Amino acid sequence: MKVIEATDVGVKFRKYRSRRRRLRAWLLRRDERQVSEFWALRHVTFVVEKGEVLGVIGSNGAGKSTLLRVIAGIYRPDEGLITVRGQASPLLALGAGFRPDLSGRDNIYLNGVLLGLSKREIDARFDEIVDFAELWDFIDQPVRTYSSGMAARLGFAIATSLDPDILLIDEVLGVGDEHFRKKSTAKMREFMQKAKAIVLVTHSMELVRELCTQALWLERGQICKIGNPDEVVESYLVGKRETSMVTKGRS
Amino acid sequence: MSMQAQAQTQGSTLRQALKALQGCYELILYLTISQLKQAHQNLVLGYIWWFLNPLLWMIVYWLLVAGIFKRGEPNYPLFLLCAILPWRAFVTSIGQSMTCLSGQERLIKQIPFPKAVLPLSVVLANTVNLAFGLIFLVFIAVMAFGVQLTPYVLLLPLIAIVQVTFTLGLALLLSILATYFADLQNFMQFFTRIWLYLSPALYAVERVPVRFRTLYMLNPFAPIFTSYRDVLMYGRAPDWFWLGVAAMIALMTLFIGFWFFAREESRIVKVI
Repeated sequence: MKVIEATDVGVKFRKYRSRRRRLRAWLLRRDERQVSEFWALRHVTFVVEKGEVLGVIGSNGAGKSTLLRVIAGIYRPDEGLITVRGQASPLLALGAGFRPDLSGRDNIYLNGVLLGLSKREIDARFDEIVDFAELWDFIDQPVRTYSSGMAARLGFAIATSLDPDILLIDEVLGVGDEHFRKKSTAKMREFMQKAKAIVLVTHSMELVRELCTQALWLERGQICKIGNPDEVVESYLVGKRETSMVTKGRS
Repeated sequence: MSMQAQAQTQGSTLRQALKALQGCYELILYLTISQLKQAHQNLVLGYIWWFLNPLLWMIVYWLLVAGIFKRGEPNYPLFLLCAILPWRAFVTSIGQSMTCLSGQERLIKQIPFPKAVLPLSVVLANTVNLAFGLIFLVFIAVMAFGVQLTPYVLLLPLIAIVQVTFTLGLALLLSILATYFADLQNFMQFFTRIWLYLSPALYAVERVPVRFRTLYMLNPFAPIFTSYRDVLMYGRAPDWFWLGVAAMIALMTLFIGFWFFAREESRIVKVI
C-alpha cells in the first residue's frame, strides 16, 4: 500500500524587495514585476510504501523541512499532488506550542489538543508523559521556569505519546542530557517498529544507511537522487567532496 | 484519517473552513482557558484588573467631563461605565487578535490545525471577561447607584451577543491584515480611540445633531452602548430598530471576516 504519494510537488514562496512592496502587490493584486518567485520544492515525486523508512538528506536550505511540512499538511503544494494515507504526526514539533506562563500540566493538555488528541486521550496518557519526561516535581510550575532541556523533554514526551501512523522526524534525537538521549533513542526505535511509515530528515549518513529503506537527496528543492540508501549516500558524499574541492580551488 | 492536498485549490471555501472548525471544540476550549489563565498570571491584582481598568478610566472621564467641562449626564459614573466596560472587551479582543497569528509563528509552522481557532479563542476569552464584567456592572448599578432593575435587564446577554459577533468578524479580518501589515497595530490604537469618541460613550446620542443621527447610528457601537444603558440604567426596552441594524452589520462583518480568513489561511503560513 502506498502510504505517501507525491507527484510533481512544488512549493513556491514569493520574495519581495521590501515589506512595502509586498503590501502594494497584495493590495493591487498585480505588480508582478516586483516579485521574484522562489521554489523551495519543485518536481518532487516519490512513493513511500507501508513499512518503509525514507531518509531525506541534503545541505542546509535544500528544502528538507519544507518537504516534511508538506507531508504534515502545513504547506499546501502550489504544484502537483500529495496524498497521505493515515495520521501523520509532526515530530518536528518539540514544544512548539508551549506557553511559558502556563504550568507544565496546562501545557500538556494544550499541546495534546493541538496535536489532535481529545481530553480523554490526554487524561489516559498524562502519567506516562510526565513519567517519561521525569518532571513530576515541576509539573505545576510555569514552563518559563524550566531549563531548555526540561522543556525539550516534555515536548518529546508529548509528541511520542501520540501513536501516529506516519512519523515525521526532523533530527530530534539529540534532546537533553546523555541519559535522556539514550532513553529517547530507545523510544524512537520502539516507535519505528509500530509506525506504518517514517520520514526521517537527518545529516547523519550512518542513520540513513542503518535505518532507511529508501533515501532521497534534495538539493535546491529538487531531487538529485532517490533510491537505495547506500547508493544515494555514496553519491551525496562524492558530490559534497567535489563541491568542497571546487570551493577550495577557487580560494 | 488521510489527507490529500492539491495545487489547484488555492484557499479553501467558507464551508470547508467552517467544517474544519467543527471538530475543534476541545482545542478552542483549551486555547480559551489558556488565554484567560495567561492574561493576568504575572500581575499581583490578577483578574481584578479587568474591573479596575474600566473603573479607573471612568474616574478619569468623570473628572474631565463633569469636573472640568461642567458637562455630563445624570448618574454620570454609571452612564460612563455602561459604555467603557463593554468597550474594553472589544478593544482587548481587537488588539490581541492582531498578534495572535504572528505570535504563534512556531506553532503554525510546526502543527497543522485550522488557524481560525486562534482569533476565535481570543474573542471567546474576552467574552468570558465581558460576561463577568456585565454581572459586576449590574451589581454596582444596584448597590452603588440604587438602580431599580426591570425584566429588561435580561436582555443584556442579547446585546452582548451582537457586540461579540461584530468583534469576531473584525478580529478575523484584522488577524490576517496585521500579519501582512504589522504597522496596522499602531494605527488601530489611534483609530479605536477616535472610534470611542465617535460613539455615545462619554455623551448621550441626543447630543448629536439630528441631521447626522442616521449616519451616526450606523456605527454598531451607537445602538450597542445605548441599548446597554436602556436595559440596565433606565429599565426600558432598547431601540429595537437600531439594535436590529447593528445586529445585521455585525452578521455581515462576521461573514466577511470568515470568508476573508478562509481565503487567506493557507497563504498566511508562508508569510508569517
